Amino acid sequence: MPLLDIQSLVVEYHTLRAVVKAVDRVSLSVEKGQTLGLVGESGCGKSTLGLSAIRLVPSPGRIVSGSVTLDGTDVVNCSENEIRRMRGKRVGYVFQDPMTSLNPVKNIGAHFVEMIRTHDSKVSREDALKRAQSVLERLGILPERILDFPHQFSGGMRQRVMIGLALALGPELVVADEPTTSLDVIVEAQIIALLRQLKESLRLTLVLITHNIGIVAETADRVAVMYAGRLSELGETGSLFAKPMHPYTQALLKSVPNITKKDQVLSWIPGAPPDLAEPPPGCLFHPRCPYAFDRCRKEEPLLLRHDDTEVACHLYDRR
Amino acid sequence: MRGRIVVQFLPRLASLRKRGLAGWITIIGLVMVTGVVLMTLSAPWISPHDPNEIALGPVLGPPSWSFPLGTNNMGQDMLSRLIWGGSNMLQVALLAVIVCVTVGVPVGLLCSFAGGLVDKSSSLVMDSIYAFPGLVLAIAISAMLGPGVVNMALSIAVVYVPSYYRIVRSQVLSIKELPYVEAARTIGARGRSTLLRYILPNVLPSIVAVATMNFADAILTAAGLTFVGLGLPISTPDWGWDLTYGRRLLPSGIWWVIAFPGLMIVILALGFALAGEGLSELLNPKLEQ
Repeated sequence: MPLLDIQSLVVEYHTLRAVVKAVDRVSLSVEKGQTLGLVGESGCGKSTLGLSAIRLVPSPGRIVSGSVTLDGTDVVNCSENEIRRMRGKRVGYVFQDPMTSLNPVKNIGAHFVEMIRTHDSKVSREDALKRAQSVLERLGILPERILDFPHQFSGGMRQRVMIGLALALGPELVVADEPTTSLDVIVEAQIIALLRQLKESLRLTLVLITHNIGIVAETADRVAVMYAGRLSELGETGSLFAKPMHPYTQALLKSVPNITKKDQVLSWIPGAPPDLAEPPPGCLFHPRCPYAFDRCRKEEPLLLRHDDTEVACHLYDRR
Repeated sequence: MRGRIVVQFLPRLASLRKRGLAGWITIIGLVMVTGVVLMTLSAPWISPHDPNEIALGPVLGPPSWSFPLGTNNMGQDMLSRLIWGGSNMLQVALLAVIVCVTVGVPVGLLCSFAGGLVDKSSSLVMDSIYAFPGLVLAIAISAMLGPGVVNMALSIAVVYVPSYYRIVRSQVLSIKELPYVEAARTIGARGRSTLLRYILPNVLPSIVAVATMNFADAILTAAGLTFVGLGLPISTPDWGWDLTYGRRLLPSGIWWVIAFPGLMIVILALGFALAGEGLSELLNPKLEQ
């Protein structure tokens, strides 16, 4: 049984202008010990999908239908108390911006104490601090810095602290929402190396949300490509990168600059993602797709298994 | 953990001189305020005469060696009245600020954190209080409650609660959307602990600044209430009363009865205003580096 199982999940944002389907009938699952890379453009619903794993879709969004199951627990329908106990304890969450994700008036130790004692009030403050120090040491932060405040740390170190917080209670699943977006490339490489190392040593189950294809290629076992709230392709990392099937995935991979090629003209995807308040009919990608034909404009493609990957594209659906 | 605010606050006060203009403004303000407070506290020892004793000197005697600030129309010593006269005003202001903080801050925190209808209705109530001119409302309430330190403080508190509510509300609304509050939710923190441990400590610096500046307003309102005769029994030495007497004497060229108490009120209010202005600059973490 997969650790995280999402079945035809629909998340809607109710705005004054329209109802926006940020996540539209997405089904995917993550096995224990696996890393799933979730890629897509800004605003395609990656973060919303990640947050629905702990039922924290920000208002005015809400989960309309579908199911999210974490190791047998129904995340969508369980009580508020149950979900609160799961957050942090069973699911760790790493945010995009380490500069603002730590409380500026509390030292690092206090963050860990809060985290640990929220879930087990029997642990003493001293024991919690000790546990925090051992976690931080593993992430390469000196134990004596435990009482320093967030502003005394660099961005990369703060992200380590965030990862440490996410790992402190030994969660079954860690969701990292663009953990390196606001860091420079050197620190980014360090953080990714750290995540890979933790993945090996702790047999961590990880959902890595990013728009950086390179990170996914290095880290993920499986990749899910999202476009405008829908899954367009889902498959093993190796085969997906070797043989991308969906035109969007192909275009996405082509738009990554290659360091070995000289005089390469960077390709890009013309147009812009659709306005989800007024989505186009049929396949959401058809206005930007070079292979679009009649059926794409009328009929929405379904996610179908094709060799090793699942792809939602009429090109491969020869019914 | 609980001493955190104090621990953060004390070194800041000690290093005020290194904090540029804002630091100096705070120092000047605090010196003015401390001076007046010390003078009032030590009144029983430093005051040369009983402030209420009549016919002590000549009637309406101008400043002289024996009566440095002159005497009023009852022959009372103006210097003694000046030294004693701040006591009630300071008590009223302190009490008013305490009431304001204990009511305005929790209400602001809870209502704006809850959001929705609770937030809307409490904002409506607060805004309608805010819409009244402060002194007029204070006079109305004070007239209903009657004289006395506590009643004066209450009527002033009602007027200034909305400003605390507004400050707290605007801060809570912006802080509760910040990533670290969302991060608190992802570690499973309850609403209560999010509010008390993540939002409140970040609102506190602005409350300190508002409270200090609010002292100045409270002093002026208290003086105003006594001036129109709604404050304290007439036997109490008070700067507000001396203003009332002095106002009638001023046209006949007797300036010393009104000038010195007026100056004290200005010094005290200005001191609090300066300290508040400086503190709000210093305690704002966003302005650091």
